[in-house]
Amino acid sequence: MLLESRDLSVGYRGQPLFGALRMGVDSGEVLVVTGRNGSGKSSLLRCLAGQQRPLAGAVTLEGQPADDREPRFRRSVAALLDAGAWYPNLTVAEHLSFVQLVNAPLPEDWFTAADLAAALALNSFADTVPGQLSSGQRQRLAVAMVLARPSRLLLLDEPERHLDESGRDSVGRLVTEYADRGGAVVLVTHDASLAVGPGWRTLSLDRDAAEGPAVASGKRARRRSGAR
Amino acid sequence: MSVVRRAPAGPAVSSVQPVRANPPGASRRWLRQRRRQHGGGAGSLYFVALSVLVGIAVVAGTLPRLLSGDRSAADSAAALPLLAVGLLGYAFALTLAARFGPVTATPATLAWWLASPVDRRLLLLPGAAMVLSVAAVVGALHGAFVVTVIGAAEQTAAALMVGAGITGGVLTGALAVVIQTVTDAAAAVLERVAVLLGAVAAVLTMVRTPVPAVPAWAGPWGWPQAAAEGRGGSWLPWAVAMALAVAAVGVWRLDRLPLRRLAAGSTLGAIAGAGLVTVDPGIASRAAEERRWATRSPRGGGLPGIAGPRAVVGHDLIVARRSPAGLLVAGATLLMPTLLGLLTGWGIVLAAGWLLSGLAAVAPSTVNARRDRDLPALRRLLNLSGPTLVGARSVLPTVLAVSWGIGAGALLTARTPGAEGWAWPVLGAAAGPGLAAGALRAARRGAVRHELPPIVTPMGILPTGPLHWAATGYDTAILFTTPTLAALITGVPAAMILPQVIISVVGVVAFVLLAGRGDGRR
Repeated sequence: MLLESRDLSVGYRGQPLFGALRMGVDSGEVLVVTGRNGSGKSSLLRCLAGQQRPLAGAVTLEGQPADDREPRFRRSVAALLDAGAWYPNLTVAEHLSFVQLVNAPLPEDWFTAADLAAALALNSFADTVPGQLSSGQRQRLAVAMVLARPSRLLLLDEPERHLDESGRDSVGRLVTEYADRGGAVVLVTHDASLAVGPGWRTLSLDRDAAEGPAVASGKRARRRSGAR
Repeated sequence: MSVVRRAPAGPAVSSVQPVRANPPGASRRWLRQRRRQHGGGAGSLYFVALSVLVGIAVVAGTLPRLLSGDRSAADSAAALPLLAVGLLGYAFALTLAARFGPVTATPATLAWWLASPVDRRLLLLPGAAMVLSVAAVVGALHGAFVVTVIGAAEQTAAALMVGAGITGGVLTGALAVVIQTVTDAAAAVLERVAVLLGAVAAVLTMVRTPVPAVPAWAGPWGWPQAAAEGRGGSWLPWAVAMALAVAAVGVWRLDRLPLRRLAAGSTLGAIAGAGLVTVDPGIASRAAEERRWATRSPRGGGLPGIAGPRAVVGHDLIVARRSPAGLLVAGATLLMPTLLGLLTGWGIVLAAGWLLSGLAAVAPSTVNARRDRDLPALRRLLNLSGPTLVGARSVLPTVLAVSWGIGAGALLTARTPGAEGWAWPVLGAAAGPGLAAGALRAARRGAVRHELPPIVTPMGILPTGPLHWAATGYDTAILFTTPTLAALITGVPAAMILPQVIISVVGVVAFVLLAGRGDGRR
């Protein structure tokens, strides 16, 4: 199992948003996480990304604790958790080139900048700086940048935000392609159309995880979500 | 028990009523009352405290000189360098005015009040008054500096020179306001004027011809000199009248200032757009940087095809190539140590001027280091260790600082009587890495830390957050360039070269390791 959580409880100031969550994602799999606002989806992703300490339980990547401070962990995980980040002085095309140049050498079968630009329709504004883009165009750039960087685990928090229908379709296709190339994906979304893909599993935090470790059942979460 | 106060009710909107802006006075009073209830007087206290400090600095800087009976006559060789300092000061002030508006309003005012049917002139009046007040203080400082350098025969003459400085400052500030009300391209106009002033200052720095006096028609940057020895009696009243008239025109035209010019042209517009309600220098400078790039198309080649951490250096290089303004700033700041050397000789003024000029020259090359520090998501995308990324981001600022140190040292040698020929450029180069570390630390500082405990003084409560913010970066630069600063005070550079090399190397390595590891933990 590439990514695994055991008896995971996530929350703030000692108050759990959910508890005793057991889940796992292997290479080539896509796990879609859904839930109402405030159910803890983004907090779960931050825990999986090693950026937030859980209240209880553990997250491991290939058996090693998820810790954003570890270079080995960072090398394997690419995450788009908040609004995208960019340099105000580089164009869209330069952002993709820059991320790939700094991360060189790339695996041979990795997405090229041209692949990503074509898939997300970036070419029409490739020579524009982010400050001149619409919010939807900037979101396309953010998705492209996170995919430009080689990784084995992709964490996406509502990548559909600000995107039109064609943009959402593009993201869905790229997530499938990422998994087909052997990567594991955890995708948080409110978009029902984006949540459905061939062989994708769904974890509903409203249904599969309950508030508080005393109430939640990891087995229940596993059974209902099908997560291993 | 809590008391809910109603906001003043305005008349219902009716299509048949004559269209007339509502006076904002009642709303302002209501807001002031709310602020008092919530103890929100810290901002005004801070401003009062800062104003008092500035006033003390002016008085402390000039009074001892005036009262000691210094009767030194104006040195004809100092006239042009002094005028060049004035030109550089005005160029810097106009650049800031272009960056910030100059007239602007708080983010909340921009987002809510200016879009509502209230009297825009009254709403923007405090902003315009602030611009004119700051301009007057800057002009007073200019006048006081001129008095300090060339002296005054009597206190009336000194007061005339300071008054001429204030008049010049107010006239320039008012002209900037008028330009903002006239054209959408106000920022470009002000920046071009600033570049022109910098170019004239460069020429004046290299001219060796003595000039007996600076005439009033040289411009407001020369008025304190033109008023020296009581020569301002004939033209100064007219200058005061002109400054007041232009200020009145600026205030009168405030209601002609479209919202787009305030919101799109000012830094605070960007802050309001980001949904922030507070402003501090850290946020403002970041917003200004974003706006600057968002209003231009990048030119001048693409990323060099180099991989790994060297690509980060390549990124800094193309940004430097796309920002000729940064190189212009560096060129202009080269002049300041030379001019101060000519005017004040070796001493603390020259050392402070050298340090501030060096940091200003390197600052434009540190914008990407600041971005990396602000956005952990970017660091994760680049997937470099903290020290590697900070080290790569330090390369260009260090190269620039070394070059600047050599240039400033060479100019100092060329124009300062008694300067040792070879030692100053070498010492400047040795101090470069220390300057770069200070500039990088200043760039990477975050927002003002308002949670720091205030200091209680006889003048009132002094918040330490802004002071801490202002000192961050300068502290490192002072520490890492101590030998050079000591040499600039004493005028003896050769003995300081080896200590400076050691301190610079140790300093920049320590900065890269500590800052990089700090980023890795965030």
